[in-house]
Amino acid sequence: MLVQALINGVLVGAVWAVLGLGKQIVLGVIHFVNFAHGHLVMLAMYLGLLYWTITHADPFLLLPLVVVSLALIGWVLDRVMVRRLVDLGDRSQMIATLALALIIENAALLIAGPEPRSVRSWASSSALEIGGVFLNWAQLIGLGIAVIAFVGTWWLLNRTPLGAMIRATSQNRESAQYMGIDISRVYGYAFALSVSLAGVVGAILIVSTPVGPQSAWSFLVLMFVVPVLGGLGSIGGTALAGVIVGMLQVLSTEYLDIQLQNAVVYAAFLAFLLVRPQGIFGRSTDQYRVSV
Amino acid sequence: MTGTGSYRAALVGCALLCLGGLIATTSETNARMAAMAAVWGLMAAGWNIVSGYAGPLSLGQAAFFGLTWFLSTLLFIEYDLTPYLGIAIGVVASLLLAVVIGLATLRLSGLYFALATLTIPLIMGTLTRYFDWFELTRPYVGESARHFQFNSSLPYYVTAAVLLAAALFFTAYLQRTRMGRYFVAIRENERAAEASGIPTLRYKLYAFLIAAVMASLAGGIYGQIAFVFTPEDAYSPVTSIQALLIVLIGGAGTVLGPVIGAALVIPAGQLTAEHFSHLPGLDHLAYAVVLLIVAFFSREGLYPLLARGTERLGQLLGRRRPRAPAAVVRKEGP
Amino acid sequence: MTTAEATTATATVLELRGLGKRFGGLRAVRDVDVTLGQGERVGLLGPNGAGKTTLVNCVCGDLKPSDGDVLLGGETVTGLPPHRLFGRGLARTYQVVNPFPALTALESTSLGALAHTRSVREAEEAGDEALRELGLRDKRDVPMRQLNIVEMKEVELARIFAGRPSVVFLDELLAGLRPSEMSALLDVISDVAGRQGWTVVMIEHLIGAVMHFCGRLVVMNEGQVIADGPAEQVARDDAVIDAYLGPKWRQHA
Repeated sequence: MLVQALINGVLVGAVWAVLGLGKQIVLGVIHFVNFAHGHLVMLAMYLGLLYWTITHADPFLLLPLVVVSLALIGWVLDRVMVRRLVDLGDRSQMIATLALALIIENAALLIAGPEPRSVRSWASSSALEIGGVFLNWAQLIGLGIAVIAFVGTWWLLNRTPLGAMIRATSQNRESAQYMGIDISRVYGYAFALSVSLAGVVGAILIVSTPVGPQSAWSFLVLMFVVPVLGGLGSIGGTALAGVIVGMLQVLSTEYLDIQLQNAVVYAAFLAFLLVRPQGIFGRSTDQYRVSV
Repeated sequence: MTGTGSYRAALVGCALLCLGGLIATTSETNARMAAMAAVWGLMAAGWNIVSGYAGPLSLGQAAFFGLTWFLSTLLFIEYDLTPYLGIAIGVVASLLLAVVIGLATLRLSGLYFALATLTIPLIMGTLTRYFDWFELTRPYVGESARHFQFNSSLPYYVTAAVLLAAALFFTAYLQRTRMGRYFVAIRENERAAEASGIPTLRYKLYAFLIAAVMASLAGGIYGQIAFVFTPEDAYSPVTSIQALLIVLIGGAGTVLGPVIGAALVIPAGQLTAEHFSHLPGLDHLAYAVVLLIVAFFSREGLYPLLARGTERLGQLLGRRRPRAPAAVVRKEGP
Repeated sequence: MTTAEATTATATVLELRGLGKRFGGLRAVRDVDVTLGQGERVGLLGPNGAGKTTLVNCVCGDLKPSDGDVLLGGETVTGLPPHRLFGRGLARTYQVVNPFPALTALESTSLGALAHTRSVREAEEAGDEALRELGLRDKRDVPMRQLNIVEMKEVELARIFAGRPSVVFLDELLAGLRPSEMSALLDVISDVAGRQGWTVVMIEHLIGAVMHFCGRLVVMNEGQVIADGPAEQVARDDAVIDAYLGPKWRQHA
């Protein structure tokens, strides 16, 4: 049923929008390339699994715990790695974060084993019915959390002093320094925010999706498609792109095959890029024509 | 990066390969390891050209590697097509794929290009599984040159080593051509290169195609050594990352880099995997740690460190470059 | 609005007709009509944010203009990418002081010549020649990062020289130099440009340096050309003085 599929698309897509948001922040503010972002989401999922296994509490209640854990991990990573990498340039960042991704993945393999595991929750198997359309509770709550995350991030960036510092730094690093802003701290906060958002995504996903050591790579497509599709620098664009991707996935699951969903997304994205490299809301980037 | 030094380096590379050949004759285990190393060296040589030389960080070499492995295996099983032809078809297919991917993604800036290329093998893996090709086992026909199958790994080593030597000479030759110069300029500063009359997109595409061919050949030979094809192995991101690791350790943008790197990395990886087989993934973990160290221990990033290291190596190998006079370098403006 | 042009040059090498560039709602450049004759030396001036860089980007292929046309030697070249323009004789220096740190001076210079020949040997000969023109031949095998700032800029010029341009845009070439270095470099440029018959456009903030070199000034403000004529005359123009002493624009790229 088309309507059902579209609605599911929105539900799924909202989560991807948050994923894209996290990526945008780290990219836009710190200009830091983090290839391990997807693996951090996976890590969040594993943590959610772990906490649930220990406490048997409702996984949604555990979400704050997961997010805080990720924020802490983000803080540690920042002190240990990110700070030094920021000045080393794109390629070093790509390589180092790739290495981090491998480490997380193999650590997961060693500790948790290769089999996918999941959480059991009332929410994942029950749904709300409205006029013939079924809204899975887990996804519905996930949507709610995603909206809160978006609004919260928007509020943080636009209504708090910290947010002002972050925005200033992202626009012009040097000027921000002259205004007395401590760049390293701002970067640290921005990175922590980005990682926390990854934590939110992971915490939402684990309720309805199993996690295995190879899961992270499927996020890779999304992590990359959503921000670029929406247009770099546009938060609204990211939200819209997330939803579009979600719909594409659901529609291809519905009419083609679930295995093909990411392939479809990717192919559609490549086709879109050929026509409009700057994304939906991206600023006209014929700036440096050679690279987008 | 010009001069006779690069050909000299290629010759040194050949010498190393001969040495490897000698080692390979000592035992089947060694032969297999040497063959693997040569195959990966070939793969890395391709990566070296596109990312070590020309610049864009391509993380999707596994796509061409896997595709050729897949096609040559499939065609052999289904149609009894000789692997030589199968590999050739794989190369052509890889070229076509590379053109499509390249045109779409080379316009993207570094990061997004890297991500885009990283994703390709994953998608291909998914597609392969979708069509139910979970595992393809090559039938064993015994020792047969016609079927490119041998009981020992030595002939595979020889094939791979010859191709790798050719690749080395090609890299050395490249440094003397306009294309090679353009590659270096593009890597150094793409915008300025464009402003100096270089059609950057076109040349990045050329580099990408060259790398695709080499990865494809590597995959084809690898397919002969490894009897069983699985999408997970063929299209694994680690495949691409391994090529990256080899080049980084051996020296990016240099002729010998792939050989030295492969000689170091592959045996290390194999030994780790064997001795620690109860801890799966340890070899990948080791790779990751090494990558981290390499990424961190170059204060200005990997390039200048390696470039300078190879400048010195080049002098050791006797390139005629006069020592630069100590010039007063004032700090550049903002 | 342009004031009357006073050109004494002969053939028109570069013509900008109604050139404009919009970024979303912002019109960074508009209605630019400028004609350059062969051998002219024109200074392009204006306060920060006046649109100079955007205009040059539009002419040199980094941006596609929203309106208008660019004609090089009579042919329409609007919107061609930089490398094609270079091949047709339109060259530009960049604000980045040292774009190719790892290349030697010769390698860097011969890049320019490679636009016209496939042979690396020929290109290196041309590059060598170019370095000699600029008096830098003894530095040919020195990596760019080891040169001092004046030498770097001279190599930049040599690279352009090797590309056999007809029109040269010098984009803030004097940035970061001491006054003595500036006049030395200007002498070199003057020398080379004179001998090669280059048409030179200099984009600078510093009026003083430009006055020595350029016979004609084009001044921009808020995206439009507000003055275009002989240097002496323009420097005394009221609108120009207003633009420079009026509200200061904040620095932005």
